[in-house]
Amino acid sequence: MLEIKNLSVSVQNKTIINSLNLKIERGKKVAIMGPNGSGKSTLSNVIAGKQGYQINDGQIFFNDINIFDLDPEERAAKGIYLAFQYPVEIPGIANSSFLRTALNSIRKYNGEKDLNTREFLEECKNLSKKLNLDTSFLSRDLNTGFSGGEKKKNEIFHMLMIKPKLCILDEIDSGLDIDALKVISDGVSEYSNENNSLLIITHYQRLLEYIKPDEVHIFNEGKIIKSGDYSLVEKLEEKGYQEFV
Amino acid sequence: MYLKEYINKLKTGNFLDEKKWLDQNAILETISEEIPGSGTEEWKNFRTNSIKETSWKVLVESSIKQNYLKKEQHKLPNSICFIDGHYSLEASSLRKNSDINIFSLSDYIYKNPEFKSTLFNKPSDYAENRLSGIKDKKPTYFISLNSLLSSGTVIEVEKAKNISETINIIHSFSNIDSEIVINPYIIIVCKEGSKVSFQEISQNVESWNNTFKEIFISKDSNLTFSSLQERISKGIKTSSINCHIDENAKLNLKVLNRERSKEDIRVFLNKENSIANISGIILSNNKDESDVFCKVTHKGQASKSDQKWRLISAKNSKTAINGKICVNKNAKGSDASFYSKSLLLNRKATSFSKPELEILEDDVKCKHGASFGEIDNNSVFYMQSRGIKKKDAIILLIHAFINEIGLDIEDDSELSKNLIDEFFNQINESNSLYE
Repeated sequence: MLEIKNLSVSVQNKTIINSLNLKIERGKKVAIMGPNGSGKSTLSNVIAGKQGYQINDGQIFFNDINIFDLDPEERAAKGIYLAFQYPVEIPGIANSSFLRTALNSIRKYNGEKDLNTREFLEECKNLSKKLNLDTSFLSRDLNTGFSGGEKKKNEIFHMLMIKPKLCILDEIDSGLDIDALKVISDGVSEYSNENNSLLIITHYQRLLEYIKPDEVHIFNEGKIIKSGDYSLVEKLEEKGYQEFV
Repeated sequence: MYLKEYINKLKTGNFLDEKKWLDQNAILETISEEIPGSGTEEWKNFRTNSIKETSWKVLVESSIKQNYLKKEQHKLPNSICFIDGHYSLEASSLRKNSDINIFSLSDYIYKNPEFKSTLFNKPSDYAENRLSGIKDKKPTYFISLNSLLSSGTVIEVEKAKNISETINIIHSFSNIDSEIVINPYIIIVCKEGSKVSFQEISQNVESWNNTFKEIFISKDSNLTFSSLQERISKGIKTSSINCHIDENAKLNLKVLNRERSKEDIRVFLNKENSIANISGIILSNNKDESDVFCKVTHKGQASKSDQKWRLISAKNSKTAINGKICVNKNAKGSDASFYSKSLLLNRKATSFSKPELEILEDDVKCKHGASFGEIDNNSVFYMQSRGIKKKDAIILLIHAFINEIGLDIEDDSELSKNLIDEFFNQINESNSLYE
């Protein structure tokens, strides 16, 4: 589904990602772990299309299309979703109307009709119940005044409503208590199936205990230094990053 | 007749008999001085050159185009219409039994002789106190001019009435000479224990529209007034609103100010527990200015005021807000706040915000703040990552910026929403968002 070939990225002449190669197959759950400043979030931003990064070399293919030719919204419409580490607060827009605008934009791009409002609201209510979110959060301003946990749950809520093909979870577990982590994991499990892929970026083992990735890569200085299966997570938890870098 | 000629006639002693309550000498003295401009604090952000450089004419009753009234009747229901500044019964569509009465000011004063003492009658009452100790009457130039040139219309809301349907006040203009000064003078009297909403819309004017409104909100009353301005393409607008609020009475004032328009607002919280909630949107585009001066004076104990402003400047334009809070001696327990946020859409766009406090009593709460910013790139990217086009994301963010102050634009007023959409279309069409 996603193939990164020889990707090198810099910011203000400082190399952040260095000749990275990575493949994520359809239906697979891939985790990238690494210490602070290793380039994990840069990778997620570059895939989603954020400006401000210098692409020095390489390509990223999503379902065989070179996504460097696409704007961020086109990437989203094709099925790439980024769950933000720090979701932005936008006062003045209700969460539900933002989501409906987003979904209709994607549908328009893909030549589909606008959503049926009643069905949309019904689905919103059902999902918010599953994520243990009070329905009032639908009418609250987007991420405004949300607690850290609510913001992360809202990212998962958007993901479940948008139903992307590839979901990048950028440190979705940071700042979460145990209960919220369980809710987030349940949401991710609901999303995950043989047609969708997941790229989980995290520092810690605890989220991966729930999600159980198929592949684990340890990231340092912008490249993969070790790859393996879930057992690598356990080793990392035991020995720390120092053992690998 | 030319304005200068008219004023000279009055100066030679031909005072207006029907306006005896006015201190005509003091008014003539004020309007004989130079029109306020860059040298006057409250007017320094608004160019008055075009007013200074034009030989203005005064519209006399006989030149009002009566035929125009029917032809151009506004489609809004429940409306009180003013054509070229004069009340038009024919063009109005106020519901029967609406609990609203309309009078000419002279008739109203005849019936209520004591009322004239509450009206604007001399500039010194509204002059600004300067640090030098001088009482500066210049900022009252435009209300002084209006009071001399207009006959005035009183809109009276009867006692203890709860009027649910919004009353529209429409200002239309016929194809009059572009060098004419039009002076609508509207007095709203909301009697004790009533609740009412007005929405005033000023259509595009090609001449000079100098409006003046005096609003009196009696004890236990609640009045909402929305002042909405269409885009002015060639003309100019100077507008003044004086609001006098009584005990336990409340004013909700909503303002949409556009380019080439200057709004002077003076709110007086005269008695105990009087309240004023003021929210406004100030928009400007191209090379024009959109400027508001808003002064709230707390006279009554435990009076409350809250000002929220959102300013958006596009291209080379300028938005400005002068927000002044005065708490008089003995206005104990007063609570006042002012907050403005400016959004600059282009590098050459500018915005000015000046919160000012003048507190003469110890036991009060006052807060103020102002912030300035651009469209946040992280927010744009967040929206794009959810599938929303960059252009749409920016428009959505501007809408959000406005919605924050809760002008009820989405739900309450189709008209204000349309006016704001028109501004967005204008800045969008010119691609000025991406420069």
